[in-house]
Amino acid sequence: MIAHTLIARALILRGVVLWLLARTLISAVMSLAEFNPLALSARSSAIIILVSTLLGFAQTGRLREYVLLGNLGVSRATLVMYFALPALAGELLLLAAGRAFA
Amino acid sequence: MTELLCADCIGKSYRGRRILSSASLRAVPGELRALLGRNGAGKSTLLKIAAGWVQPHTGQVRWEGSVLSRASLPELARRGLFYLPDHDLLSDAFTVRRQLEMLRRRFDGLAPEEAARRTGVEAQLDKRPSALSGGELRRAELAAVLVRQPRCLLADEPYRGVAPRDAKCSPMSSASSRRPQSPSSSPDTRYRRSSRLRIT
Repeated sequence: MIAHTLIARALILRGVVLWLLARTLISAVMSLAEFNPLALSARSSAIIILVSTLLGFAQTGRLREYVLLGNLGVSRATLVMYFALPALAGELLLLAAGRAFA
Repeated sequence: MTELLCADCIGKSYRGRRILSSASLRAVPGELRALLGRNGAGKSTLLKIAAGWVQPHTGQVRWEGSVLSRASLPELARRGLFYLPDHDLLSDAFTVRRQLEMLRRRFDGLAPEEAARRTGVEAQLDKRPSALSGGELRRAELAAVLVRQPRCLLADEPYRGVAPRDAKCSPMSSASSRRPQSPSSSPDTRYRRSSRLRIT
Protein backbone atom coordinates (compact mmCIF):
# COMPACT_ATOMS: atom_id res chain seq x y z
CA MET A 1 0.00 0.00 0.00
CA ILE A 2 2.70 2.49 0.98
CA ALA A 3 4.73 3.48 -2.03
CA HIS A 4 8.43 4.05 -1.76
CA THR A 5 9.66 6.94 0.41
CA LEU A 6 10.71 9.02 -2.61
CA ILE A 7 7.10 9.13 -3.83
CA ALA A 8 5.64 9.40 -0.33
CA ARG A 9 7.96 12.27 0.59
CA ALA A 10 7.04 14.27 -2.51
CA LEU A 11 3.29 13.79 -1.98
CA ILE A 12 3.36 14.42 1.77
CA LEU A 13 5.35 17.61 1.16
CA ARG A 14 2.65 18.67 -1.29
CA GLY A 15 0.02 17.87 1.36
CA VAL A 16 1.85 20.06 3.91
CA VAL A 17 2.13 22.99 1.49
CA LEU A 18 -1.54 22.78 0.52
CA TRP A 19 -2.66 22.52 4.14
CA LEU A 20 -0.53 25.57 5.01
CA LEU A 21 -2.11 27.45 2.10
CA ALA A 22 -5.66 26.49 3.10
CA ARG A 23 -4.99 27.18 6.79
CA THR A 24 -3.37 30.57 6.12
CA LEU A 25 -6.28 31.70 3.99
CA ILE A 26 -8.89 30.58 6.50
CA SER A 27 -6.90 32.03 9.42
CA ALA A 28 -6.65 35.36 7.60
CA VAL A 29 -10.40 35.43 7.04
CA MET A 30 -11.05 34.51 10.68
CA SER A 31 -8.65 37.18 11.93
CA LEU A 32 -10.44 39.79 9.81
CA ALA A 33 -13.72 38.62 11.35
CA GLU A 34 -12.07 38.99 14.80
CA PHE A 35 -12.17 35.28 15.61
CA ASN A 36 -9.24 33.40 17.10
CA PRO A 37 -7.90 31.27 14.18
CA LEU A 38 -6.37 28.80 16.65
CA ALA A 39 -9.70 28.12 18.33
CA LEU A 40 -11.50 26.35 15.50
CA SER A 41 -14.20 23.77 16.18
CA ALA A 42 -13.58 20.12 15.32
CA ARG A 43 -16.02 20.48 12.44
CA SER A 44 -14.12 23.44 10.98
CA SER A 45 -10.85 21.54 11.31
CA ALA A 46 -12.42 18.58 9.49
CA ILE A 47 -13.50 20.94 6.69
CA ILE A 48 -9.94 22.29 6.42
CA ILE A 49 -8.61 18.72 6.19
CA LEU A 50 -11.18 17.95 3.49
CA VAL A 51 -10.33 21.13 1.56
CA SER A 52 -6.58 20.34 1.77
CA THR A 53 -7.20 16.83 0.48
CA LEU A 54 -9.34 18.10 -2.40
CA LEU A 55 -6.66 20.68 -3.24
CA GLY A 56 -4.14 17.83 -3.34
CA PHE A 57 -6.26 15.95 -5.86
CA ALA A 58 -6.81 19.12 -7.89
CA GLN A 59 -3.08 19.82 -7.98
CA THR A 60 -2.34 16.22 -8.98
CA GLY A 61 -4.90 16.53 -11.78
CA ARG A 62 -3.51 19.91 -12.86
CA LEU A 63 -0.04 18.39 -13.12
CA ARG A 64 -1.52 15.36 -14.94
CA GLU A 65 0.17 12.95 -12.58
CA TYR A 66 -2.54 10.33 -12.21
CA VAL A 67 -1.12 8.01 -14.88
CA LEU A 68 2.38 8.27 -13.44
CA LEU A 69 1.09 7.59 -9.93
CA GLY A 70 -1.05 4.73 -11.24
CA ASN A 71 2.01 3.20 -12.90
CA LEU A 72 3.83 3.59 -9.59
CA GLY A 73 1.05 1.58 -7.95
CA VAL A 74 -0.24 4.52 -5.90
CA SER A 75 -4.00 4.15 -5.47
CA ARG A 76 -6.55 6.91 -4.78
CA ALA A 77 -6.86 5.66 -1.19
CA THR A 78 -3.11 6.09 -0.69
CA LEU A 79 -3.32 9.57 -2.19
CA VAL A 80 -6.07 10.50 0.29
CA MET A 81 -3.77 9.38 3.07
CA TYR A 82 -0.82 11.39 1.75
CA PHE A 83 -2.89 14.57 1.47
CA ALA A 84 -5.07 14.20 4.56
CA LEU A 85 -2.47 13.08 7.10
CA PRO A 86 -0.32 16.25 6.98
CA ALA A 87 -3.48 18.37 7.36
CA LEU A 88 -4.67 16.22 10.27
CA ALA A 89 -1.28 16.44 11.97
CA GLY A 90 -1.20 20.21 11.45
CA GLU A 91 -4.68 20.69 12.85
CA LEU A 92 -3.84 18.59 15.91
CA LEU A 93 -0.68 20.64 16.46
CA LEU A 94 -2.62 23.89 16.20
CA LEU A 95 -5.26 22.53 18.55
CA ALA A 96 -2.58 21.67 21.09
CA ALA A 97 -0.95 25.08 20.61
CA GLY A 98 -4.30 26.83 21.03
CA ARG A 99 -4.94 25.02 24.30
CA ALA A 100 -1.42 25.75 25.57
CA PHE A 101 -1.77 29.48 24.91
CA ALA A 102 -5.39 29.72 26.08
CA MET B 1 0.97 -19.74 -24.36
CA THR B 2 -1.01 -18.51 -21.32
CA GLU B 3 -2.28 -14.98 -21.66
CA LEU B 4 -1.05 -12.44 -19.13
CA LEU B 5 -3.67 -9.76 -19.64
CA CYS B 6 -7.01 -10.07 -21.36
CA ALA B 7 -9.69 -7.46 -21.93
CA ASP B 8 -12.60 -9.54 -23.11
CA CYS B 9 -15.84 -8.55 -24.88
CA ILE B 10 -15.39 -4.91 -23.93
CA GLY B 11 -18.21 -2.47 -24.58
CA LYS B 12 -17.98 1.25 -23.95
CA SER B 13 -20.12 4.27 -24.77
CA TYR B 14 -19.55 7.97 -24.30
CA ARG B 15 -22.59 10.25 -24.14
CA GLY B 16 -24.74 7.74 -25.94
CA ARG B 17 -22.18 7.10 -28.68
CA ARG B 18 -20.96 3.52 -28.79
CA ILE B 19 -17.17 3.50 -28.99
CA LEU B 20 -16.52 -0.21 -28.45
CA SER B 21 -18.69 -3.24 -28.88
CA SER B 22 -17.38 -6.69 -27.92
CA ALA B 23 -13.76 -5.64 -28.41
CA SER B 24 -11.03 -7.90 -27.07
CA LEU B 25 -7.32 -7.48 -26.44
CA ARG B 26 -4.93 -10.15 -25.27
CA ALA B 27 -1.34 -9.82 -24.12
CA VAL B 28 0.76 -12.96 -24.24
CA PRO B 29 4.32 -13.18 -22.83
CA GLY B 30 7.01 -12.88 -25.48
CA GLU B 31 4.70 -11.48 -28.13
CA LEU B 32 4.49 -8.01 -29.58
CA ARG B 33 0.99 -7.17 -30.70
CA ALA B 34 -0.11 -4.08 -32.60
CA LEU B 35 -3.55 -2.55 -32.82
CA LEU B 36 -4.16 -0.45 -35.90
CA GLY B 37 -7.23 1.48 -36.95
CA ARG B 38 -8.67 4.75 -38.11
CA ASN B 39 -9.15 7.75 -35.83
CA GLY B 40 -12.01 7.32 -33.40
CA ALA B 41 -12.13 3.55 -33.79
CA GLY B 42 -11.58 3.10 -30.04
CA LYS B 43 -7.96 1.89 -29.96
CA SER B 44 -6.93 4.21 -27.12
CA THR B 45 -10.14 3.51 -25.22
CA LEU B 46 -9.52 -0.23 -25.45
CA LEU B 47 -5.98 0.24 -24.14
CA LYS B 48 -7.22 2.45 -21.29
CA ILE B 49 -9.79 -0.16 -20.31
CA ALA B 50 -7.21 -2.98 -20.49
CA ALA B 51 -4.92 -0.87 -18.28
CA GLY B 52 -7.65 -0.27 -15.71
CA TRP B 53 -7.62 3.44 -16.41
CA VAL B 54 -11.20 3.55 -17.68
CA GLN B 55 -14.01 1.22 -16.60
CA PRO B 56 -15.92 -0.61 -19.34
CA HIS B 57 -19.71 -0.75 -19.51
CA THR B 58 -19.61 -4.41 -20.46
CA GLY B 59 -16.92 -7.09 -20.52
CA GLN B 60 -14.16 -7.99 -18.14
CA VAL B 61 -10.42 -7.62 -17.59
CA ARG B 62 -8.43 -10.67 -16.54
CA TRP B 63 -4.86 -10.86 -15.26
CA GLU B 64 -3.24 -14.29 -15.43
CA GLY B 65 -6.71 -15.80 -15.76
CA SER B 66 -8.17 -14.06 -12.67
CA VAL B 67 -11.11 -11.76 -13.32
CA LEU B 68 -10.62 -8.29 -11.83
CA SER B 69 -14.06 -6.99 -10.87
CA ARG B 70 -12.95 -3.35 -11.06
CA ALA B 71 -9.48 -3.36 -12.56
CA SER B 72 -7.47 -0.30 -11.61
CA LEU B 73 -4.15 0.89 -13.00
CA PRO B 74 -2.40 0.93 -9.57
CA GLU B 75 -3.48 -2.65 -8.93
CA LEU B 76 -2.38 -3.86 -12.37
CA ALA B 77 0.86 -1.85 -12.09
CA ARG B 78 1.70 -3.66 -8.87
CA ARG B 79 1.21 -6.96 -10.74
CA GLY B 80 3.60 -5.95 -13.52
CA LEU B 81 1.71 -3.82 -16.03
CA PHE B 82 2.94 -0.51 -17.39
CA TYR B 83 0.60 1.78 -19.28
CA LEU B 84 2.24 4.27 -21.61
CA PRO B 85 -0.44 6.78 -22.64
CA ASP B 86 -0.23 8.73 -25.88
CA HIS B 87 0.80 11.81 -23.85
CA ASP B 88 1.35 13.11 -20.33
CA LEU B 89 3.07 10.21 -18.62
CA LEU B 90 5.68 12.32 -16.86
CA SER B 91 4.82 15.07 -14.41
CA ASP B 92 6.21 18.57 -14.74
CA ALA B 93 6.59 18.82 -10.96
CA PHE B 94 9.78 16.74 -10.98
CA THR B 95 12.82 16.27 -13.18
CA VAL B 96 12.95 13.30 -15.54
CA ARG B 97 15.70 11.73 -13.40
CA ARG B 98 13.59 11.95 -10.24
CA GLN B 99 10.62 10.29 -11.89
CA LEU B 100 12.75 7.52 -13.36
CA GLU B 101 14.34 7.09 -9.93
CA MET B 102 10.87 6.77 -8.37
CA LEU B 103 10.11 3.92 -10.78
CA ARG B 104 13.48 2.27 -10.19
CA ARG B 105 13.15 2.32 -6.41
CA ARG B 106 9.51 1.26 -6.46
CA PHE B 107 10.06 -1.73 -8.74
CA ASP B 108 13.79 -2.37 -8.42
CA GLY B 109 14.28 -1.69 -12.11
CA LEU B 110 17.01 -0.57 -14.47
CA ALA B 111 19.19 2.43 -13.53
CA PRO B 112 17.76 5.70 -14.92
CA GLU B 113 21.13 6.62 -16.41
CA GLU B 114 21.29 3.35 -18.36
CA ALA B 115 17.69 3.70 -19.60
CA ALA B 116 18.36 7.31 -20.60
CA ARG B 117 21.52 6.29 -22.43
CA ARG B 118 19.64 3.64 -24.40
CA THR B 119 16.93 6.08 -25.43
CA GLY B 120 19.34 8.95 -26.03
CA VAL B 121 18.07 11.35 -23.38
CA GLU B 122 21.05 11.39 -20.98
CA ALA B 123 21.43 15.15 -21.46
CA GLN B 124 17.78 15.70 -20.56
CA LEU B 125 17.75 13.73 -17.29
CA ASP B 126 17.96 16.78 -15.04
CA LYS B 127 15.38 18.78 -16.95
CA ARG B 128 11.66 18.95 -16.34
CA PRO B 129 9.44 17.42 -19.05
CA SER B 130 8.18 20.85 -20.19
CA ALA B 131 11.75 21.76 -21.19
CA LEU B 132 11.97 18.83 -23.63
CA SER B 133 10.94 18.69 -27.26
CA GLY B 134 8.10 16.33 -28.24
CA GLY B 135 10.50 13.64 -29.45
CA GLU B 136 12.78 13.96 -26.42
CA LEU B 137 9.79 13.75 -24.10
CA ARG B 138 8.57 10.58 -25.78
CA ARG B 139 12.02 9.04 -25.52
CA ALA B 140 12.13 10.01 -21.83
CA GLU B 141 8.79 8.22 -21.44
CA LEU B 142 10.24 5.19 -23.24
CA ALA B 143 13.15 5.38 -20.77
CA ALA B 144 10.55 5.09 -17.99
CA VAL B 145 9.36 1.84 -19.60
CA LEU B 146 12.94 0.55 -19.68
CA VAL B 147 13.42 1.46 -16.00
CA ARG B 148 10.18 -0.25 -15.03
CA GLN B 149 10.87 -3.42 -17.06
CA PRO B 150 7.20 -4.43 -16.94
CA ARG B 151 5.86 -7.92 -17.49
CA CYS B 152 3.26 -6.39 -19.78
CA LEU B 153 3.44 -3.05 -21.60
CA LEU B 154 0.41 -1.31 -23.08
CA ALA B 155 1.73 1.52 -25.23
CA ASP B 156 -0.53 4.01 -26.98
CA GLU B 157 1.16 5.54 -30.02
CA PRO B 158 4.61 4.58 -28.70
CA TYR B 159 6.48 6.31 -31.53
CA ARG B 160 4.63 9.62 -31.44
CA GLY B 161 7.17 12.30 -32.34
CA VAL B 162 10.11 9.88 -32.34
CA ALA B 163 12.36 9.93 -35.40
CA PRO B 164 12.63 6.51 -37.13
CA ARG B 165 16.38 6.49 -36.37
CA ASP B 166 15.64 6.83 -32.63
CA ALA B 167 12.81 4.29 -32.58
CA LYS B 168 15.28 1.41 -32.71
CA CYS B 169 16.23 1.99 -29.04
CA SER B 170 12.66 1.61 -27.79
CA PRO B 171 11.46 -1.15 -25.46
CA MET B 172 9.29 -2.52 -28.28
CA SER B 173 12.43 -3.05 -30.34
CA SER B 174 13.91 -5.30 -27.68
CA ALA B 175 10.67 -7.27 -27.58
CA SER B 176 10.95 -7.95 -31.30
CA SER B 177 14.72 -8.37 -31.25
CA ARG B 178 14.51 -12.01 -32.22
CA ARG B 179 13.98 -10.82 -35.75
CA PRO B 180 16.68 -9.01 -37.71
CA GLN B 181 16.32 -5.25 -37.69
CA SER B 182 17.88 -2.60 -39.80
CA PRO B 183 18.98 0.66 -38.15
CA SER B 184 16.77 2.60 -40.51
CA SER B 185 13.61 0.73 -39.54
CA SER B 186 10.64 3.05 -39.41
CA PRO B 187 7.89 2.69 -36.80
CA ASP B 188 5.70 1.31 -39.57
CA THR B 189 8.28 -1.39 -40.17
CA ARG B 190 8.19 -2.25 -36.49
CA TYR B 191 4.43 -2.61 -36.59
CA ARG B 192 4.91 -4.98 -39.50
CA ARG B 193 7.30 -6.94 -37.29
CA SER B 194 4.67 -7.38 -34.61
CA SER B 195 3.76 -10.94 -33.76
CA ARG B 196 0.11 -10.11 -34.34
CA LEU B 197 -1.69 -7.28 -35.98
CA ARG B 198 -5.25 -6.32 -35.33
CA ILE B 199 -7.00 -3.77 -37.50
CA THR B 200 -10.15 -2.12 -36.16
